[in-house]
Amino acid sequence: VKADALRGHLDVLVLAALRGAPAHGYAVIEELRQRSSGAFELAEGTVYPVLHRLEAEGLLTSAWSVVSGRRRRIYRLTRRGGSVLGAREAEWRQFAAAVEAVLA
Amino acid sequence: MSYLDELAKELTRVGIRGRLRSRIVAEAADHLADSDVVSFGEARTIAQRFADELATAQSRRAALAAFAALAVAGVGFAGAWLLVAPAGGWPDVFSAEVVGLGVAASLGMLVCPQVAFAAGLLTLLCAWRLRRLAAAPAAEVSLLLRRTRTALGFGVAAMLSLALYALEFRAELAGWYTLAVAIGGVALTVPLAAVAATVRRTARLRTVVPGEAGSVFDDLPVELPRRPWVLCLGVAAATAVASLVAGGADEGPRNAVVEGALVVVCFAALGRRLGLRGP
Repeated sequence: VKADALRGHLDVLVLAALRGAPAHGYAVIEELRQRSSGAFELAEGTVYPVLHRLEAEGLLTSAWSVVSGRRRRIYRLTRRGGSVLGAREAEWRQFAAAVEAVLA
Repeated sequence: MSYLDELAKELTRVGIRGRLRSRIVAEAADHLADSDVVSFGEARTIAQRFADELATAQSRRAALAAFAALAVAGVGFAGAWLLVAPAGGWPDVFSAEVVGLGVAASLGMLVCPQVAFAAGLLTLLCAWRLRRLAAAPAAEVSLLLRRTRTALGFGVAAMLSLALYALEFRAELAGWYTLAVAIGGVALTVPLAAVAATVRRTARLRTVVPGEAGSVFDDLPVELPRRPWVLCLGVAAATAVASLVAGGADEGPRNAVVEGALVVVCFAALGRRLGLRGP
């Protein structure tokens, strides 16, 4: 899946990657890579502007933390981020089901 | 030049400086300890993406903050307006300490709050329309910031007009009123000035997302014919009718003419700046 096709969906993917536990940027990218079986072709650095924007919108919070002796910025889903994720997830499932029905 | 130096330089180029730039570079350095620069992406592309996405998010937030600050100032302004009667009643406009300043303050109190409210409302509508965009076109961000600046500018002018009014007519108004309004008028400009500083910082971000700015017809929740002057005359007529009804038989007709004309004059003067009409 090319980066251009992903752009409109990156928010929900990043929020979903952080649903389980707080994580740093690299771990978010790894999570996306693993869960998509490497299907997403995006420059790793492009995830950081998304993380910063979601934080500016109040959907994530972040703080520096020392992980295995390294100082890393850890991102965490806020309550509002969780509810936005839920709403976008429902929209996506409805959309995907409609496309699936047309293609069937 | 190392990749991180290049990233820092590119961030500066797109208007990201200070602590935010340091944080981005530190996060990139941490990431690159596990990965490589090719996978991370070109410094120029990453920096530009930061500017595009942060400009959109920050301009939206500034728009909402501006509307909230204007709402607080509006409550204060309305309170001061209502308290004129118990403080001695509306003085004759030519009884000011300095007549020119008294007239200017009176006009400012009439015009500025209404323009601030209209621009603030347009700002809110535009921010709402852009709420789902990760990176809005540069022209949209520019329009949103222009509307926000206009709303804040007229909001500050309204509060300063109020303070000036209380000082200029202090001989005819109660002392407590003059003191409360002068202090309150200046104090309520502080939140407006704080939001203006955020707008200024956001305006430094250089976005390059292509696309045109929407118009007021895209912002409105109802579909209307795209004829700006017809919309203006419709709003002027509605405002005049409301003023006529509210003003009663004595002041209604005069107020209706003044308010209706004010809408048309402001539309002509600020329409392009606020994205209400084309060039």
